[in-house]
Amino acid sequence: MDDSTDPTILDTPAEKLGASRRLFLGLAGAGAGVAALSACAAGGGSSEEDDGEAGIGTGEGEVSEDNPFGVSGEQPVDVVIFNGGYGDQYAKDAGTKYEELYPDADVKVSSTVNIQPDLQPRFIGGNPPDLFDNSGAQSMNAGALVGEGSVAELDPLIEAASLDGGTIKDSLIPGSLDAGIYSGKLYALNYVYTVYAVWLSRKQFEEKGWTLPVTWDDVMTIGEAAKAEGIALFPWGGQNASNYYRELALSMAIKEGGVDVQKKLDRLEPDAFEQDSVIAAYAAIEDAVKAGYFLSGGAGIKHTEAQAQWVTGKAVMYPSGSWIENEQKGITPEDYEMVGVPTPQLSTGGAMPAEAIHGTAGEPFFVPSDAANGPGGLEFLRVMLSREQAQNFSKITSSPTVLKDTIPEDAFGSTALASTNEMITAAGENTFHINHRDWYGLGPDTVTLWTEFLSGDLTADEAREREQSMIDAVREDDSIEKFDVPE
Amino acid sequence: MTSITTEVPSGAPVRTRGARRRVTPSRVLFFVSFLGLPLLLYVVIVVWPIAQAIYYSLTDWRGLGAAPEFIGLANYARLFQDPTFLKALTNNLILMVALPTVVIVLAFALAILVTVGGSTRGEIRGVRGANFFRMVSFFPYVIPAVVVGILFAFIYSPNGGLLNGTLGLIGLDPGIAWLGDPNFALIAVGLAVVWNLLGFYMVLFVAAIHSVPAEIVEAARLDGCGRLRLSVQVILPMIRENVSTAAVYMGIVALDMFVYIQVMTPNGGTAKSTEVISRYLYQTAFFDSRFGLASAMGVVLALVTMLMAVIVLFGFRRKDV
Repeated sequence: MDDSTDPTILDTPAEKLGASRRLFLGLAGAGAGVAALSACAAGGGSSEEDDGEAGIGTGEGEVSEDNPFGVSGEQPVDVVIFNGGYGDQYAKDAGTKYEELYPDADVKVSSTVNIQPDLQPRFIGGNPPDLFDNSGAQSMNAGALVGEGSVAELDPLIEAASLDGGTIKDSLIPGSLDAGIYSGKLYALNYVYTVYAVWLSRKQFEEKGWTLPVTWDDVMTIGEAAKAEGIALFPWGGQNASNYYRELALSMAIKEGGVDVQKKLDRLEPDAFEQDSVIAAYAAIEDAVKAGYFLSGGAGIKHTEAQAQWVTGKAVMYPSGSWIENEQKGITPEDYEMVGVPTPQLSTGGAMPAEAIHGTAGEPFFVPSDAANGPGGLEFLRVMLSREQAQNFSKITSSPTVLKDTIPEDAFGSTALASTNEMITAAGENTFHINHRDWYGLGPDTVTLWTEFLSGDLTADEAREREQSMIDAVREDDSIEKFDVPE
Repeated sequence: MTSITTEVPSGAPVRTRGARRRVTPSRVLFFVSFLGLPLLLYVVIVVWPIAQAIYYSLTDWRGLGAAPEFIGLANYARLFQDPTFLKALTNNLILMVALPTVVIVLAFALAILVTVGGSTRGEIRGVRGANFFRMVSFFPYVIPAVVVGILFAFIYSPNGGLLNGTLGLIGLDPGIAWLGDPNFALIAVGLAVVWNLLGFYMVLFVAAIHSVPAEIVEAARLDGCGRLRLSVQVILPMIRENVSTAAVYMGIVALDMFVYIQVMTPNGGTAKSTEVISRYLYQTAFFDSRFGLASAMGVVLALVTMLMAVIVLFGFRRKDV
């Protein structure tokens, strides 16, 4: 994602990802009530009581194995794509494929960076597109769309047969639908998968004879070796992205203590930051700060400058999402060989295996319930969710989709994408996601706190106490809607 | 200020008041277009939003469709218990005192230099090349605040930034991340603002100094008044009105600061060292979607601004004028 041309006021890709989901959830909570979300988080499956009010009926075409939604071959299909970091070529290619399947259909794939200004009037006017990609700084209120019944359920889509055989549901990465489920029903199909990992240069590691880290002790060993060569271990952007290290710390804690650690954090429990594994994780970061492994001057710079320092060899590794390769395109040296390794383990006896990853899906696609050709919209998504189109997307954007096993061995020459894919495959069901920061808008406050912590101005215990009082304040504030975390 | 004369010039035809008040279509049109329309616009786009903001500050509105609930002064009570808000308010007050003082002192000094700072012999004039300096010092003002913020973020960068680089040349590179260090960040941002706006106030003062009658300055000089005394005791009192206007403008800038803070320290700085009300308000409204609380912040900021303007304008007023 090219930050420099992105008009959004949010600074880091993580913030953007978080903000879109926060808006989504905040509005869902306000629109459909908190109960809706608690049910949503409880997962899908109970769609029996669904009376189909927001569903899309079958089209005028004949329903068959090859045409599960009864798409009429003559009807045009209108798709609107957010033309952001991923561009719109992948959707145009999917449109070409749709035309192959339905040669008489008029396929219109348009793209915009202003989803909300362009589409809101169309919703009000009753002529929404058949499918749209609700992404970017100017996306529509997803919660309102769901709450007002403006978008259709997508359960029929994932139950349908994939173009490659089997159901679509079975072809997806485990957990990748979660972000689009409301009240137990799927409304958004998040197409892109993001893995949070620690990124480094494989070439550098090979040259120095270092092994890729699995545990935090490995990380510290590399830190010492790097220090001896006058390189820092971690770059950091204290002005807006120091909380990338919070993600690292909490992910380490969750891998050590299991998903219950995450649930306690997301439930804002009074002792969430007193959990043993959280204490250990913060202490681990403090050790690295005290050892001088964080690149000096980080407090004064933004993530862009910090990441530039990293790929130009001033620091060794960086915790971030899998967008990082795409974001650093153009700065990263040709032979850098960027790869990601899963969040390091605090100890080898942790609750989750070394392969466990922090992963989640983004880039939500909706089918409006008033769409002129709803079945066509669903069919278009079905095309996008085919192996061929998913591979095409990954090839164009160096990013994985929610379809599993679609990235070839060579990952189209991208070492980062290959490693992302390996991490996803190796993790299997061992994935988790941390929600409370985005749910309750703690981004800015965690940044300023973590910059203090990583500057060495706070001890790990002080940082944890401050984090605890931050979530205590949210929990005790009745004016903030709370989201339920399933057992 | 001279009082406005109300006498009718003796040569002009005398009209009765009744004739003046006759309602004719053209008079109606005149009042409607010159008084009614602006008033309507003012009410609709200024008064009404302010009234709305005050109303919302008494509610728990979240900026969504749901009807807001009236909660009295709870938002205000909450604000004054919120350490981040108090920090922001303190920072704003510090800036409100420091920025106008620094800018006005420097701008006045520079204005004196380019107007009466030259040779004490012969005609009163500025230092050699005054015109050039006057022009050059105005340049920063034409740069938008956003650009100034970005430029200064580079200058303050701990990695080869101009400031640390220059200090390094004389062997003093302290390796300080200026914008990230809670001890320096606010000063660093403040200096960028001074650099940005100094030229404008200098030009303002230059124009004011030119309007001081030359005879007075010359008379003072003939009486043996030095340049320092001339500027502080003769010129400064005569441009007092301009100085007070400048103080109000700078005070408003200091109470806002949004662009500079947002660009240079996007989250309010390490440990909230550069947090200001406007940025915190923005975060509260558009990130946390707590429009009621944000409106309360806006109301507090507006009150502080008005109070500052009143104090400055009355404080500079003199009985003898």
